[in-house]
Amino acid sequence: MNGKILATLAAVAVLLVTAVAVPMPAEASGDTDVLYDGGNGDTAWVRAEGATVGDVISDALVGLGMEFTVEAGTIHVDGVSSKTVGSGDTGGSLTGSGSTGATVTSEWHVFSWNGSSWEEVADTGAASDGSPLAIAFYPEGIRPVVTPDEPYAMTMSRGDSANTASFEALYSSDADYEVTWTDSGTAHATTLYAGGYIFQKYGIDSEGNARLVCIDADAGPDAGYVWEFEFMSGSNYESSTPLIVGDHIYVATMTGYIYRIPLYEGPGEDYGNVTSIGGASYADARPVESFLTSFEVGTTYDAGFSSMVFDSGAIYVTHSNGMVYCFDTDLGLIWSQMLGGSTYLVSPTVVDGYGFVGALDGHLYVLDAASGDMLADQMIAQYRYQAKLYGGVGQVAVIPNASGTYSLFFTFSDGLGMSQLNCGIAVYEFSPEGNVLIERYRNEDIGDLGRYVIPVSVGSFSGIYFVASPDSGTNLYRLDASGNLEVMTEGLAEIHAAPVLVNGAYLYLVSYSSAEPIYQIDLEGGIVGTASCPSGIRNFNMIPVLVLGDTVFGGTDSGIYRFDGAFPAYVAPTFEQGQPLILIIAEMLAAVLVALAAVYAILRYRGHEKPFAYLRSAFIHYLYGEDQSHNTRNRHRLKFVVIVGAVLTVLAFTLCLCIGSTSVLNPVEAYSALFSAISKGGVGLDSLETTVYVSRLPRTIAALAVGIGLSVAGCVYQAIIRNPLVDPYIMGVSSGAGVAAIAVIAFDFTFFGMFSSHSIFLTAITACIGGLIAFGCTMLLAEKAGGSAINYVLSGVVVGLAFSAVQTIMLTMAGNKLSNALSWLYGSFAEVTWSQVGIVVFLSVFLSLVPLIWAKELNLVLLGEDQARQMGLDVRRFNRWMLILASVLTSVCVAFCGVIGFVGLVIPHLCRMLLGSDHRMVLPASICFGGVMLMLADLLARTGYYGMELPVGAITTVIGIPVFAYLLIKRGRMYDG
Amino acid sequence: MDDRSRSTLSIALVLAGIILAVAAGSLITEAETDQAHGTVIDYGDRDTLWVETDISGFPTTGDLLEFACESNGLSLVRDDDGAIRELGGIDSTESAEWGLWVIYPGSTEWVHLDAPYTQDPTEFTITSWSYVGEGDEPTVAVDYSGNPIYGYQQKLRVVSLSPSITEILASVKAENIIVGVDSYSDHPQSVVDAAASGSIAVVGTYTSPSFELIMGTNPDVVFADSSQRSHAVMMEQLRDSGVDSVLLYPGEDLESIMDNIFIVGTVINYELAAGEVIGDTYEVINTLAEHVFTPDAGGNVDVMISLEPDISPWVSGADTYISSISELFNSTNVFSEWGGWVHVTSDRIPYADPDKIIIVTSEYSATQEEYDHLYSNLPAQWKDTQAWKDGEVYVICEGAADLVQRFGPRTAQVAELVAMILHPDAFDTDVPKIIGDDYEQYLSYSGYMGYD
Repeated sequence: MNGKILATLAAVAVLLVTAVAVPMPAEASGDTDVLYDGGNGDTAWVRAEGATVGDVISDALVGLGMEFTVEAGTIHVDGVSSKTVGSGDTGGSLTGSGSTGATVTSEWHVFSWNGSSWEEVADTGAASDGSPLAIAFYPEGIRPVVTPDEPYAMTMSRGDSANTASFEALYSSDADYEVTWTDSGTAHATTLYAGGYIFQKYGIDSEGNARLVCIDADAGPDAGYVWEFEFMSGSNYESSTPLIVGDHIYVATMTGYIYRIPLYEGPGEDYGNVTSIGGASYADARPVESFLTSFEVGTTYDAGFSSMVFDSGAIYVTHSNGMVYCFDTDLGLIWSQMLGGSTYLVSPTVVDGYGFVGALDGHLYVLDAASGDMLADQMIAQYRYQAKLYGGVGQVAVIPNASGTYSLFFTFSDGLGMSQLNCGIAVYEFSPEGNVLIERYRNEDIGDLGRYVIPVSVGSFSGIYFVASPDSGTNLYRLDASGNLEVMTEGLAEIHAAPVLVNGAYLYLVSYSSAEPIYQIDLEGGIVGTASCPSGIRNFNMIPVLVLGDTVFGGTDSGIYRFDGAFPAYVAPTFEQGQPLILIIAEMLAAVLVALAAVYAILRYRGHEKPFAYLRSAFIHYLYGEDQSHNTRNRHRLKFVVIVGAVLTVLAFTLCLCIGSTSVLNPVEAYSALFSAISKGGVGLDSLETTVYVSRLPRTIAALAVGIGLSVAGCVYQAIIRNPLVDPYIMGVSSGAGVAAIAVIAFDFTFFGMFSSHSIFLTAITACIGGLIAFGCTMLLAEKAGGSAINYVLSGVVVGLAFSAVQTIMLTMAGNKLSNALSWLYGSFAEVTWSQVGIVVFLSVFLSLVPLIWAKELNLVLLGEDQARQMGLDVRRFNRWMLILASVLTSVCVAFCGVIGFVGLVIPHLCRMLLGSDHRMVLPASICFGGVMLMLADLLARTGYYGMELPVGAITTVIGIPVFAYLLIKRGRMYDG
Repeated sequence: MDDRSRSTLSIALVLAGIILAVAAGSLITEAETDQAHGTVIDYGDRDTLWVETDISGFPTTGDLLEFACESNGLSLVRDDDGAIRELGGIDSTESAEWGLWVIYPGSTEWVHLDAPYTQDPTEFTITSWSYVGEGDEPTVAVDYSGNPIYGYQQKLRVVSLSPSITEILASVKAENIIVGVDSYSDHPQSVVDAAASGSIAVVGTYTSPSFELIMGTNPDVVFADSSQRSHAVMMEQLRDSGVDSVLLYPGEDLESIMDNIFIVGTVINYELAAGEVIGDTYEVINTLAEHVFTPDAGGNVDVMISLEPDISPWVSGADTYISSISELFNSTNVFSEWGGWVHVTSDRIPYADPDKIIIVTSEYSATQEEYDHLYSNLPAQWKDTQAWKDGEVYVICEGAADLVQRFGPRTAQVAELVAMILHPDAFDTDVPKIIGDDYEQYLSYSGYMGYD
């Protein structure tokens, strides 16, 4: 990218960031590239000509509307030769206001490009050899970050010390827009760019460490980080942006440290290259104290430093402790000033030697950037909520006026961030004569506002653009210094990130939700293009994009990304979020119709007069054809059932992943979220992935497994006991499990101290054991009574009644734990988590497979004990083992999700009605349909009534009964159980 | 396949299932409680100072104590054996002394450790240097699941899963940071309106909150109620997904309700507002107690609290909320031999012979006709009590019934109603026999504490 861009750059003047004070460049001429670097992030490239270095630079600055003179070897630009920040020692420190006596002086320096670095030119009278030149306003020893090889840089949070966030970039490519790379991390700090590298600060990982990483902008993170600096932070919200000056990057943390790291070398081994405030080494670094004064106003979301800006050799930063600090480039303190309230997150705005900063006391402060003296202090807005005062002033946008005054634009609020109740926007005029602040405009009826506005002076308009959310929707507005307010674009998605301006022509606005677009909007308010956040790192977007023409970098709470190519043209959205359910169903129906039509066409083509009639007869013949052998027919039927069952299972599974109480996804979205969640190992998921992987998938799998388990258990019981009314709970398992579960839930039974009372397995394991104990009682009784099937039924009923009675008594005494106990008894998958899914799935699926092996014996048992015995089966022994198996299966199912009725009773019957009583078909069919039914029932249970979990057992009954009734009417006559 | 190989296959399947399940189960590590990144200096009565620091940097608890005092400018005098003589200007005395109290991981119980303080601070969930009287315990420092309540950053997106928690949030003036509530939350009205208009999400019912809806609000912290089993499970799930969640105590008496308010305030950094609510509540209760424990108020009262006017009603045993409040005001619950709500046999009523009967019910509306009807139709067993004969049967219904069954910050109002019913002579205002939505107009001391 670099070569191409540079080539085109040579033709036009490209400003990366333009301070408002500087007029736009004039037409370029000549053949020497000259960089103007104002030393505050404000840079511009101009082509110029001349015999000597001085001539070339003079020509270049004329092009930028500035005057260049050299007097006695000292360079003056527009009459300014040097600036000194700092004054005499008045006892300033990190904890108290004042100057430290340290000073830093910036002067104009001229550099020449030697092909690999900037070299200072001592004599401006030397002849120009055509190599690129630079004129820069820095203290001794600092060289420009921008070079002819890497003509772009983004060195501070809003681009320059005036916080203009204005990029000059080149749109050159017609290439299709695509995502080039992504990297994961929590990006709340603006992405910085210098020398072809991306510098990104990430919030804490699972170990509590935050990071600053350097990524090769072209190669991306796949090639590995160029370097990485990890620091301890307690904060999720490492939201302040680092700062790049010369050959160093400065990172300020929410824990109160500032570190200085060599920009390209990185922190080095054991962070030996890192220094901190006062020049301390990394090991000796000490944080700035978080609390110096207890402010009676305002409140911060987090503690720590704001983003930093750099101007005239000094670093300006505020801290939530209420201080504004000015450091030199070695992080020596120059001055500090205590404000009347906390400051938070937003960097000060430094323009023409004035520092403008708002605080959470609702005041706007104007400081002398050189000495730190307080020039003006104006209360903008304060709100009293009950006992406490709140206030806040957002980042200040400054537009100098011809009269020598400055128009200040900013939002104000109660400082409560996203939960603010009151906010508004104001324009003040600051007059350096007498240091007066006068209100020119104020509007508190414009809805929800953020902290950032963007100054724009293009054509006849001079003012700000900003985003606000009135009662409904989010709009883009513009406002000039006279208070003329215009709506530019309506109906945008919710936006929290700061806007950026590119080429004085386009605003880029990033939607808060990554399901919503990143907008490219022209200054007339028309949406030119939109892009969407890459799916892998979808999450909330809080930071602005960094636009280098057709290359765009952005970030979310889950990571950062790079786009290349032009944004796709904007198409008005048709659906708010995901797709409506009706559309998904319609799509499926359409697919089925198309398939049917295709089949019809093919069969017609092959010469069948009535294709569907033919299909039907062929199908019936396939399943019921009298000319086939009994076994062939059965094999056909089994194949049919297994295929239909598998298809239904996949469909139901997909539906369960797609549909939920918060959103309806289309299957592609759902599965892509699922796979990306799996590929991440379930860690660091975005909100969509969390929904699918954490909240929907485990319970769907559990429902599938439990459905299979209960159906098979029911099937086995019905065969062994030869009674169609039998369900899996006939052996008293559910009552036993219920008694045990209620003992845990209502009476804090901890299994004699085996488990801690908070263990997630306590209820499940206790219930399982309770179920098995009840079955043990049943078996003991039945075996004593002779061990026949009828003995088992009777014992089971009696034991079940006994346990139910105990259960009822316990419920009566459960007091306020009653509802907890009842919710377990009703049965629900609401509490199934990944921790439990593995256990229930493996046990229930594997145990369900065992009866398949013994299907023929189950058929024999159905004939009656005597006949089965004659066929050589040890009926007693077989029955006993099958009952144990089915009871264990039932206990496992009950243990994790409570008592779910109906499935185990009805699914086997449904299968028998459809397929006859051969267990070689009934068992596989039960496996297929039991899972489907319970998955659909759980889907209804969690979506049927908005936000409320319905008892899944009741749902299974409600949806099962009509089906059952229909089949009973249709086939009941020939069905004998 | 012959029978033998089929049996082998069956056994293999069963074993495979069990082994895989056990493997899956053993892969899961039970959620562990967090460790506090700091230590607490606890002056007693929920007046605490949180000192945040990396505790692994301190070899012993004594070093941690020295640091905590030094960094906060507190004086510290210790014995030769390390015991604390004085801290921050407060001396250890016979009746109350400074000491180290700790909570071990997985527990919520305070353990008192003696000097010398050479323990490794990383062994504990939290350490607290507490000024504690004989038989007392330090200020609560972990939630019901054993997680420290200190060290959270300020929260701006809060979800409440119970009506009581919603009320607590409102009482500490944090209703503007609520982004989600359960569907049972019906107080204050501003929250109800916001939920109706959609600016606050409803994240399920009190008994079954929805993980998906909670995550949809992108919360900073979720407050759950340990008296709901589903909440404890939800808390684990949320913590697994990286959302801070706090499980409050089953607040069924004054102290644990105040603890819950303190916890909520501490977690969202609204300690000052929480302290105000707690202070106001105790002030009202103390004022009420002063009135009640005077000779004019007429001594101890035997009271029966019932949920319905039936022959064999459900009555309150000893440890219900309303019973614990009424016992603050010189009264005795006649059914205190039982715990919780009990279904009492009818002949116990005349046998217990209460002086006052309080019926808490949502079935009646607060009119004199309804009351007269109820009063004259009470079962014979009820009429055979002193309370009925004296006409001392009170009905709490409508909004007042909700009030006395809600374990939230309006405790002071509950207390005042109960105190007025139990000892009408001690107060200037008369309370009617049937109290409904208009209960606040009878409250002289706690009228402002409705937090709506």
